[in-house]
Amino acid sequence: MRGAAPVKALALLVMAIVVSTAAHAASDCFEPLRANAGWRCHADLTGGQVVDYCLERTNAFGTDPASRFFKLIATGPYPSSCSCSAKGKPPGAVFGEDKSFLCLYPDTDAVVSGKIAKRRMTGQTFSAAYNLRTVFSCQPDPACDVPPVLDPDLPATGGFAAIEPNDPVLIQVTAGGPVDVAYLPGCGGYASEAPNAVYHVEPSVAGEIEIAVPGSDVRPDSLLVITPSGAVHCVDYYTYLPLEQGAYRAWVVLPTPGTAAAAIQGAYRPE
Amino acid sequence: MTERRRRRLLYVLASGLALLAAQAGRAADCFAPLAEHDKWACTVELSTGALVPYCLNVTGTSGEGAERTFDMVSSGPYPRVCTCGAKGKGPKARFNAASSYLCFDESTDTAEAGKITREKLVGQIYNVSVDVRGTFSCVPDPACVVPLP
Repeated sequence: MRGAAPVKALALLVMAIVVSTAAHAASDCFEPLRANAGWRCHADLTGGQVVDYCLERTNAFGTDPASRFFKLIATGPYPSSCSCSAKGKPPGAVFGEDKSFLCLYPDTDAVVSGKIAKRRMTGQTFSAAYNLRTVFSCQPDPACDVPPVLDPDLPATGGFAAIEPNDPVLIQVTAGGPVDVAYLPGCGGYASEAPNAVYHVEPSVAGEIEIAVPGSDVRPDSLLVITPSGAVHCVDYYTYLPLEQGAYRAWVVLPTPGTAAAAIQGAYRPE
Repeated sequence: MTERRRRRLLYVLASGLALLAAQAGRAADCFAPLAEHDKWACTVELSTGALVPYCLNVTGTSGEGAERTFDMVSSGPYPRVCTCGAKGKGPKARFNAASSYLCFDESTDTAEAGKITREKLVGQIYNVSVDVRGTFSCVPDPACVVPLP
């Protein structure tokens, strides 16, 4: 029986570690989303209307909770960027480790604040663009999925290049994909979730940015570009865009689901 | 106790309760403290580790009842449009009636949520465009003025 005490102590230690790990995981807003990607939601709006919709967690970026962000897509589709809130008060707050969260829906200028537990997500929404408010409640539902959307934060599938004045860069890409881009105003066709090419620009002289799909005039594909400030441009072959600092993200869009070889050229054209 | 004294005592009690109820009603709304104090001195702790002091001013309101919004601006200037949160859940929720609030800052793509009481404003921000988070606390300060261009 002399060996029983250390064994008991070890068992207690292991149990304490398991409990502490579980407690840590339970306190983070992302853990329930990791376990359940699809959620079924019910919202009550100002004026007494009700809306039922699905919410799906798609991509998460970063491993450090203090800088990690994740995407939630609501039926529409309406994509949002979200982050778990901080635990504790300043100074000394622990960022990204709380069960509460904040999201921003850029398409509707909407802010969402809420809490996510294992079996329930609750919160409030305020859309500044539509002066609309909701209170909502969601429960995990694996059958609840939302059509895929473009995710400009994913790494480019074809490549990334910094472009300098008068030095165009051609990137070979795989055009098309599963995302129906008709949810974006003025766009149609199918593209990949991640950008095909990303061009980074540091403005040095006045000018414009030209993005083009060479050969697209004889093929049915088209071009979709999201500028550093978030403006979406859908065009047939090429586009000239105002000069901005940051990343221009480009997709080659096909008229039907599927893929094909293509290329995108980015150029910094001085005045 | 005479009838007259009893009635007077009841009147005092009823007046006190009415005053307390009115104050409680006002305190439940995030905008009442802002109507009283339109200038606040704040400190934000950013996820980068920086502690940044700034001023926060109320600049206006529009709409009424559940539709009311109010505008605030912080040093920068960074303007935002805000609403009080809803009190209660589901179909019984009373919109724009809670001490909690939500703001959207279009200039920096920032979401803000917090709570406003008479002597303190606390909350958190998430700036999507630069992927920075912050947690802040403010106290009323009539001298804290945000310079506007």
